[in-house]
Amino acid sequence: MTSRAGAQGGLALIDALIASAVLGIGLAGTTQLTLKTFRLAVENRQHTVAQLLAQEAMDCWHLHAQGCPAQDDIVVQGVRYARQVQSTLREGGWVLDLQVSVAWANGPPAIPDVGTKQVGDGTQRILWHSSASTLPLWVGVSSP
Amino acid sequence: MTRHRTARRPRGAITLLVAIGLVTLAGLTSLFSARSVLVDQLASRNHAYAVQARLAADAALAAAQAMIAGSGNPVEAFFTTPSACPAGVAGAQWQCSDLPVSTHPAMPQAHLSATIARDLVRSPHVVRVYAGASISAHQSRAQVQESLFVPVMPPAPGLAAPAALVLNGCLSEAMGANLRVCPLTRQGDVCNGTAIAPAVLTHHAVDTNLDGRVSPAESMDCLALKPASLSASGDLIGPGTPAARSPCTRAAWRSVLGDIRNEHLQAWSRAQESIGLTARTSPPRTIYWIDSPADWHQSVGTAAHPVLLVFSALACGQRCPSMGAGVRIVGSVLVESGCNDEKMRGWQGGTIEGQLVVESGLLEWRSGAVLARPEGRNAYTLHWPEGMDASRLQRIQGSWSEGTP
Repeated sequence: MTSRAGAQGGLALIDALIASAVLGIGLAGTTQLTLKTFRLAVENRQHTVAQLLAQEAMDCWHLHAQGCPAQDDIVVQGVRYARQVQSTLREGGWVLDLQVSVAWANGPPAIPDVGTKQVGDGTQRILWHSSASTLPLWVGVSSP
Repeated sequence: MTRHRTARRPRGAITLLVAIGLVTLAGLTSLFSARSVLVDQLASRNHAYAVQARLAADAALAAAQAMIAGSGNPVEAFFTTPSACPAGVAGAQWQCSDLPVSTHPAMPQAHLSATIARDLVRSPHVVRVYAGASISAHQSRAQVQESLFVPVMPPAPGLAAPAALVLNGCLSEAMGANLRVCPLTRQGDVCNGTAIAPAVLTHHAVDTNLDGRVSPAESMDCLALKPASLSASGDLIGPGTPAARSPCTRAAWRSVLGDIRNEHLQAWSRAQESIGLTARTSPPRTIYWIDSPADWHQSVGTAAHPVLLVFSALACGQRCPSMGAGVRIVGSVLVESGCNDEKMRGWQGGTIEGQLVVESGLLEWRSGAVLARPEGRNAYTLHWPEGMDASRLQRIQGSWSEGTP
């Protein structure tokens, strides 16, 4: 009776150990995956913010609105984005070429994204190009 | 004993199964959240590609506009090679042409294209520029469009009370002439009601007594239209002072067309002809520049689409072409008789519902009816926003839009 009870206790311990090992390995894997997902989500958000900032600058320069900054720093949710706009006249002054870059500091990307460049020191950057017409704009009250 | 053994074994298996279940659950949760984040990333990337394609299309639009602005050529020069019109631009009145847009230096991977289109009946001075871009690496495409005001011709002067018949000389009826001249009326009924504009206006009358002014009697002598030929309340108006006609200053032309010149109307007429507009198309042709000296026998123009018929100086080489008796023109007829009364002597016209402008006198006028209509000058009266400089190429505020590629 006693030896059988001891054997059963040993079996229960083995069961518990195996279950713990399965649980431990599984949780470690899912924790890794969750951390990576979290990192990716943060990067996505930063990338989306960078795109919006680049688009905002492009739209501003396309409209030739006064007060479009050529260079500024914006902090969104604790991340500093450095935005820079370069404009060059072409085609006898009728075309204004625009180059907008938005750079922000972050570690190496979880999954490298096309269109985003790793600049070094974990800094990422997006670089967009376009052109705007310098033809005068008729600001009237009606159009045909 | 047997009972004890069987109770322990399942308990261990259950613990293991519960552990595996918990791990599976945690794993699935992680996988789904990872998948959701990956889908977010794809969406964000697609948005970035779409924006980049749109920015490339904007670059194509700017390049096309620069091509038009920088060439120094009139806009007609860009429509010499016709092409298919973009989707949504349908109708016989549209003139379309592709522009050869070069690749943007910083976006060599983007293929840029541009097409220009204009409505040659209603608004030849408004050019729509359609620009597109496709980036094959991203499989993204975008199209944008914007309209431009182009200085095809100056605006015609707005006349508060346009006369039915405008002359640059005197008027007389032939023996047994069958004539009728009706001014614009308040009620809008042709030849019936109170006139709100002159029936005949001349810019030149003869100062017969050489006193340096044209008296009402001299004006009446100059505009010798019989009462039977004239609507009851139509006025005949002459100049207060005599004006020289030599060299011919085209006073009649300038009074209705302002600074619009021959080449403007010739180009417009040629463009309408080149896209195949005729009196029978829908919409019909509205501008006719006629160099042929042959008499005119075609009825043209409708109230919805009035026409402008110009018998040029070339057509008036020996004598100006007459019009068939049954011909009906809705719109304006201009006869470039070059201040030479002899070219219009014995002229015959059909029925003109609009306005007749003759750059000379109209002596021994034999037949015809000129019935003034409010829409008579619509064929060449383009809509220009008030106060704008019609001599400059400019973009139209609010006309930019994104299209479906």
